[in-house]
Amino acid sequence: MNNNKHKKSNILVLFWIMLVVLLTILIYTYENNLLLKFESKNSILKTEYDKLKTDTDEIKYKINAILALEKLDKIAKEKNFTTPAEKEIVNIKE
Amino acid sequence: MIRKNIFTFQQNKNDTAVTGRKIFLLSCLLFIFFIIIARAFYFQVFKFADTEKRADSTVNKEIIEKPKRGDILDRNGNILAMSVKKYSLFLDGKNINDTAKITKILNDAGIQLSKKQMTEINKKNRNIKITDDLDEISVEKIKENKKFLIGHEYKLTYRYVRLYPETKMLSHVLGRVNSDGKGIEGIEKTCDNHLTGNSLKISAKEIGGINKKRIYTETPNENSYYGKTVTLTIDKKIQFIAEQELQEGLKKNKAKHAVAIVQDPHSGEILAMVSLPNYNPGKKIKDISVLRNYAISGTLEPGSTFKIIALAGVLEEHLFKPTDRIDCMNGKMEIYKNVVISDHEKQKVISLARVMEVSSNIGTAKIALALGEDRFYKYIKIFGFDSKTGIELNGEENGVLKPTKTWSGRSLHTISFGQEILTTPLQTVNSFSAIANNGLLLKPQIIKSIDCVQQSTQPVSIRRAVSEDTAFEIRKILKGVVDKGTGAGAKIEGYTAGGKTGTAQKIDKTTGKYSKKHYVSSFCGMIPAMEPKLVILVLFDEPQGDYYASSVAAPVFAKIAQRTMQYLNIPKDEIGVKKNKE
Repeated sequence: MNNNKHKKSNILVLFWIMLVVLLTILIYTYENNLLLKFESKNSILKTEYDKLKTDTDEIKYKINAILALEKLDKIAKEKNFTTPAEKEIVNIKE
Repeated sequence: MIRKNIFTFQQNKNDTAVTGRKIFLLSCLLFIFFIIIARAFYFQVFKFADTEKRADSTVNKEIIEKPKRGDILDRNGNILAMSVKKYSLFLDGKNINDTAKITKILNDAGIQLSKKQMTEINKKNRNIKITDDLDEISVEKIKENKKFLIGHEYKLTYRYVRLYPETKMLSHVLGRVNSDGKGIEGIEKTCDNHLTGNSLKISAKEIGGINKKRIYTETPNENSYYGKTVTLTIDKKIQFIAEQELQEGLKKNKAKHAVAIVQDPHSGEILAMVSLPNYNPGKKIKDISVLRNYAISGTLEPGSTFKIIALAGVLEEHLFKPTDRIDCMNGKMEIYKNVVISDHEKQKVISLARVMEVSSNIGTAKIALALGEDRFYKYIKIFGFDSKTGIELNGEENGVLKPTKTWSGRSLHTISFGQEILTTPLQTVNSFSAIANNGLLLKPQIIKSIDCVQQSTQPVSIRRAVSEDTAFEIRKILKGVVDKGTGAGAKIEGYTAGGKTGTAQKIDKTTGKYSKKHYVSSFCGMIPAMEPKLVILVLFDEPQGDYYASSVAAPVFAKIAQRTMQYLNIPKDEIGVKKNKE
């Protein structure tokens, strides 16, 4: 009887050890998957960021090209703008 | 008892059998489990390196990320040059079966296929270049279409294209890049190391079949490999003012070249540098002669603007005072082997200050004689002539000054009024800046900072050219040139100005003698006259018709000065000065 009990408790211990090992492997695999998921999300965000950055650069260039002084001067001349009189100039501090 | 025992024995025997079967089953399960664990352990520990290598080779990739070239900004942060990502689209004709589908997809993205491209697709050619000017929006439209397979039917590559929003403005200073994106002129060349970033290898995983997905496993900081931003001392608006006025002057006087430089005399910073004719750095250059930046490499005889050197020398050496009288010999003086120097306006005995006001060659030659060859040569070198200023631009010239031992009997006279010597416009403006800066010669600077790190927090002093008192006296005399002398065309409303005109004959290359048709007209001045905030040089090479600096260069100086002072909101220092009229 005692022998049986002893054998039972040994098997039970082995069972728990195996369970712990299994759980460890499960957690490790889960973490690896999670890492891959995050890398994938990170990658998507990086691609989105690169895209937005390129868009920003394009817009920056277009704005600067539109506001090129030569173009503004040409428009001013076409619309017959004149330099304001000194008294009409108001300086605004930035 | 025995029956009970037999029965108990039977019961015990049954229990043992059940327990035994249980143990056997559990042992089998454990054994299988053990095999799995052992196998996993074997691959994970002993075969790890091998397995990882095989997985890596199929999935893990190293992507080379091209660096973006840094921007070039003006002193106020306005963009002068920048790089934008552009995509090139290539089709693989071999993998395209439905041409109509492809045409529709590309049309939706704004791309029209030419007849030649359609022919190549039908011929099943590979790597057919469709366009190399795609922006991000068009690329997104193409990628969105799942029926169009990247890596199979088409591929996209990208590069950074250099763009200049102000087109021709500041072209000689900015320079340009070649087709590989390497700087070959101007700041693009000088700062190429800073502007060019470093290619970076980034780890990524590529998974999937035809429609591959890329997963980056690291995201490096772009500051670590993108090119740096270069900020110039140039003010975009002052540059525009100078270019516009100079362009008008060039057109009006039909000159061959024109130069304008605006400098802050107290820091040496160049606020504007114009060399005309200019070019568009973003387009192909047909005539390479336009690439030359005359402001730093145009070596010309400076003419009368050079007279301030002899003036500075005699005042510094206390040989003359501004009120001392000099006999200008009624406009003609024989100097050496029947060589006669003359003045355009006959003068008799006048003060030293008046010599400068009327720009008398004879008066200047006489004061240079008093100074002597060695001392005069010393002052020429002290003011930075015959050596590079060290500005951060390529192609700067030294100028030409013969050593005194090779001077003829007339050299001292002629060099004193700016002949027999070659200087660059930058050297001239920098020497005037020394006068404006109380006698301290500074290094001209055009780079303010690289990636927000100051190149130099203080002005770079080269040497003391003359004392503060001498510089003050010279400024008074130069003010007189504008108030009562040849520089009257440089008068500005509301501001005092001082400066010197220069009308120099050019050597006729065919005869080797001074030409009567070709001149260099220049005016270099400072505003306000006594406490200058700006020094401006304007120069026209071979103006047609009228060539006198007083009517060609001085008025352009006045216009640039007037507009710049108003833009910078510098308070007026003289009310009641007649407005300069054309």
